[in-house]
Amino acid sequence: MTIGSPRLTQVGTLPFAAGVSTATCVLNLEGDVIWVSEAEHPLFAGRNVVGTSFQSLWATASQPSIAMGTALALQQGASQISGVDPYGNAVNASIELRRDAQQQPLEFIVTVTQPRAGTLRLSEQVATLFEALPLVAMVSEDPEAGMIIGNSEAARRYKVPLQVNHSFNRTNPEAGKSYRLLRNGRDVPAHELPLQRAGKGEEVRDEEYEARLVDGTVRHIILNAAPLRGQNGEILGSVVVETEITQRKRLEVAQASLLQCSRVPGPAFFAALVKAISETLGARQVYVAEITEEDPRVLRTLAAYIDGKPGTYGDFIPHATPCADVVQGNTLFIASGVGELYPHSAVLKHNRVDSYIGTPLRAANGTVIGIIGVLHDSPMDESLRPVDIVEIFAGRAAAEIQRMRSEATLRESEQKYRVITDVIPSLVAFVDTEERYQFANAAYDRWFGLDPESLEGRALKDILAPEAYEVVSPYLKRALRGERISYESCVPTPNGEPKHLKAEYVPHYEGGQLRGVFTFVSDISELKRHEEALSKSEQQFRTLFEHLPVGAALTNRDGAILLENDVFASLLPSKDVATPAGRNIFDRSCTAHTSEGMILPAAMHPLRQALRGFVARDVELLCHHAEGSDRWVRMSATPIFGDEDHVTGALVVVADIHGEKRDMARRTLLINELNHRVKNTLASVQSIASQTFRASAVTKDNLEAFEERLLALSNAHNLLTNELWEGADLKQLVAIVLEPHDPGAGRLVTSGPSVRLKPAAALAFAMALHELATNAVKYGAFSVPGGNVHLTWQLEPVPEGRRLRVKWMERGGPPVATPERKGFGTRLIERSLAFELGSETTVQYDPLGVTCEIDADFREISS
Amino acid sequence: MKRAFLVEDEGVVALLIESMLSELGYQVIGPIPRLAKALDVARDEQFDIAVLDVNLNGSASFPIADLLIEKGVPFVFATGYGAPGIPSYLGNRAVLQKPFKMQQLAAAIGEATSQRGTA
Repeated sequence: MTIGSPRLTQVGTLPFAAGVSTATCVLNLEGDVIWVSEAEHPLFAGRNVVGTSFQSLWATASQPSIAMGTALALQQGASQISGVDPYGNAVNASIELRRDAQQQPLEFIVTVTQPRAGTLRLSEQVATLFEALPLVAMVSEDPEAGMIIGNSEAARRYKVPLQVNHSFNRTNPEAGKSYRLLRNGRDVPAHELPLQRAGKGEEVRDEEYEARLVDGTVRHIILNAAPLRGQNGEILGSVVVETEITQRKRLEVAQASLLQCSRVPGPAFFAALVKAISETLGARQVYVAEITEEDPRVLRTLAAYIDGKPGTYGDFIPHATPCADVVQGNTLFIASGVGELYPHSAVLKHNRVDSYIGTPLRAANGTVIGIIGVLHDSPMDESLRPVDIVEIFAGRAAAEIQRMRSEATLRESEQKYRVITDVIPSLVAFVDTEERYQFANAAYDRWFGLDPESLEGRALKDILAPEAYEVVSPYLKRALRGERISYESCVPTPNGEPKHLKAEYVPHYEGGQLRGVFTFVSDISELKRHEEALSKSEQQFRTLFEHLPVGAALTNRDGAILLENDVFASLLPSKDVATPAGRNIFDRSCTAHTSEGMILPAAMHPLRQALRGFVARDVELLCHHAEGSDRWVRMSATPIFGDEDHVTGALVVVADIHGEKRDMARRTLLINELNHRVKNTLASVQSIASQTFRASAVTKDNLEAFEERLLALSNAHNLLTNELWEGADLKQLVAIVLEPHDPGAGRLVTSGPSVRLKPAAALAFAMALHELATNAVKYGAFSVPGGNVHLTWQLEPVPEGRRLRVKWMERGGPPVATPERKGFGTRLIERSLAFELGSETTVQYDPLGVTCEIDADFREISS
Repeated sequence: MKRAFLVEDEGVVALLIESMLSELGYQVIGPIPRLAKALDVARDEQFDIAVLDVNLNGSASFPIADLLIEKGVPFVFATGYGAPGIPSYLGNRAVLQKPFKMQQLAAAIGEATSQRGTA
C-alpha cells in the first residue's frame, strides 16, 4: 500500500494527542517523584518513577535548569523549564510550589506538556481514516521525523502508548527504545529509516524490515513511505504504512525448517522438528510424542525442546492436561489462561504454562498416533495463526512416525526372516536381476565360509567356483526370465568332493515387475548315498526274494500281498491280480489241512494265525487251481511287527509239496500192495501147510502152533504196514502180539516206555514174544489159574549210548524144570533176536517160572 | 445146511477158506475167482453168508457187496489190505486180515450175521 502525497487541510489537532500529552506529577522538596497522574506519559513510560529523582527522568534537561526551576518555584511559587524526554521529544514543565496550612513549602506540582504535540493539523476525514486503518501507520510532523505519531494499530502492534513519539533521530537511540528495525539482519541507521527518507522527499516502496520489540517479539513488515507536502509542495512531514508479513514469514521459516528437518533421518528428525517449531513460534517448550503401540494410553516423547535446548518428557500418560484432549483427535489452541482451564494439572502449574497448542498426529487411515505439543509461559499471538505452523509440522511428523514404525516392522520381519532362514540348513538367497546376492542366509557361512552380509551386492559369478557357476548359470538365467526352476545337479566344490544339489529357483515379482529370484539349494549328497545304498540293498533283497526256491510273499495286515515272487504266484495263483481282492491271499482258494489230512477251519489258516501275532509252521494246504487240478503246498507264516508291537503284516512262505504228497501216496499204495501180496502169500503158506500136513503124522497141535506163529508174523506185518515200514513201537507190538494169549484178569502185566524199533527188530521181537507167550499158555504161568507174567522193559544209559533191557518173568505157574533139549521156540527166541538185533538173550528155567532177559544195543534196533 | 458163498481169486487161499467154512458147517458155493461171474452167482444163488476177497485179479469186489446189501445177505471181507482198503461206506463191515485162523473167520461171520439184524 502506498500513500502518495495527500493535500492536507488543517482542521484541528489529532484527537489522540489531546489531554494525554499532559501529565501531572508531585515532587517532594528534594525533587523526588512521589506521585504521577499519567503513568503512560512518555517521560515516565515503562518505568516506575515514584521515588526516583525527577531530574533523572529527563534525557537532556540539565541539572541546573531543573534545580533552577525548583529553586525558582521555591522563591516565586512557580517556574517554567524545558528539556528532552528519553525518547528525544521536547518537553515543557511548569513547576508550582504548594504550601501547607502554615504556608510552609510542602511539595512541587509539576505539569508536563509536550509543546509540539497536536501541532500537526490533519483534515478530520484523514485523521479518522488514519486512526481507523487496520494497518500500522505512522506520521511524522516534521521533515526530520523527529517525532512520530502512530495510529491505534501501531500502538497495539508495538505495544506502546498511543501518544508516544517514536523518534529515531535522537542522540541516545538505545535509551527507552521500544523496538529496533533491521533489514537483512542488520540495524538500520536512523537516517536510512523509511520515514526519515520520505521526509527528505523520497518515496519508499515495498521494503522488507524486521522489527524487534523489547519483549523479544519479532515482526516482519513491508514498509511504504511517502512525504507529506503542503499546498506549495513544501515537505511538512512523512507517512509510513506497513504491511505485516510475520505470519507469511513464519510459515516460510517453518517450511524451510521443515525442509531442513526432513533432510535429517530417523529420530534426529524429531529433534530438529521440535527445535524448529520452538524457534519459529518462540515457544518455551515443544515436544513430539507418539502413542505407544504396547499401551495406547502412554505417550512416548520422541523429542522435546525445552528452554532452548533438547530435553525430554519420557513416557507419560496425559491426565488433566490439554494433551489428553489432543490425543482424542482435537487440535487445541489456547492463547492464554491454560492454567485456569486445566486447574488440576501440576505439570502446567509447575511450568507456569499460559498458552498451549496441541495437534494430533494422524496415520494415513486417520488414527491418532501421536501429538505435537507447544507450551509457552505467556500468551501467544493468535493473529499469527501458530496452529497452522504446528500443523505443517504435524503432517510431516506423522509421516515420519509411520515410516519409522513400518521400518521397525520391516526390520523386525527382516530379522525374523533372517533368523528363520539362518536355521535352514539349505542355502537360501535372493539374487537380483543383475545376478547379485541381495540376501544370503547363514548356510553360506557354513558352506563357503563367507559372511552372508558381505555377500550382499556381490555377483554370483565372483562367489561361485567357475565350474559351479557354469552349472548354475543356465538355470538362473531361465529363472530370471520368470520361470520357476527345480533341478538336481552334481556340482564340484572347493574341497574337490562333488556335491549332489537340489535347487529351486522362485522368481519374485514386486508390482508386476521381476525383482529377482529366491534360490533354495540343499545338499542331497547324503540322501543320494543313502538312496543308492538303499536301492542296492533293496535290489539284493529283491534278487534274493525272487530267487528263493520257495514261494514267498509279504502281506499287509489284511492279508493283501505287497510283494510276491514267481514261485508264490504259481503255487497260489490269483484269480485277478489287477484287483485289490485278487491280491489278497485269503482270496486264493486253499484249504488248510492237518498232517493227518483233516480240513482245518478257516480261522486256522496259517496267515490268519500270523496276522494275530503267532508263528504258524508247516501247515498243508490244498490249493484249487483254475484248471481244476489241486495242488498241495506247505505254508509257514510269520508275523511282522511294526511299532508298538502291532502286527503290520506277515511273511508267508509256501513250498510245493505236491510231489512229496504224490510220492507219499504212491509209497502208501506200494506198501499196501506189497503187504497184500505178502499176506496172500502167507495165507497161501498157511493153506499149503494145512493141506500138506492134514493126513500126516503131524498133530493138530503142531499145525496150530505153526498157524499161530504165522499169524504172529502177520500181525507184526500189519503194524509195520500201518507205519509204512518205517518202524514200530514196542508197546504197540507187545499189545498186538500178546493180546491173543492174554488170559485177562490182570494176569499179564506189561510196563515200559515207548520205544521205536526198526522193522527187522520189530519182527524178531514179535516172534520171540509169541514163542514166550505160547509157551506160557501151554506149560507156564498161563497154563494154570493164578499164574501171571510180568513184562518190563527200559532204556538204560551206558557209556556207549543206551541199551534196551527187556525182562519176561513168569510166576505162579507149575514148577519148571530145565528141558532136556531146547525146543524150536527157545531156539527161535535166542537165534532170531541174536541174529537180528545183535543182542544177548538169556532164558532161565527157574523152578518158580521162566525168565527171559533181552539186552540189546539200542542203536542197533532203533528206527 | 447153511450155505456160504466164497469169492476168492487165489486158488490155494480159496482151498484153505473152503475147508475152514466146511469145518464150520457150511456148504460152500464157489469159490468164484472173477467179479462178473461172482456177481451172477450172488444174484442167482441163495446163501446165508458171503466171504469176499477184495482184489479180484485187479477188480474190487465192492459191487458184489453192494448187491448183497441190497439182497440183505451178510458178508465178510477177507483181504490182504486189511481195513484201510475198504471204502468208508462199507467200513463198518467185518473185515478179515489175511492170513487168519478158522476161529477168526467164525468170529467175523458171527459179527456180520448179527449186524444184519441191526443194519
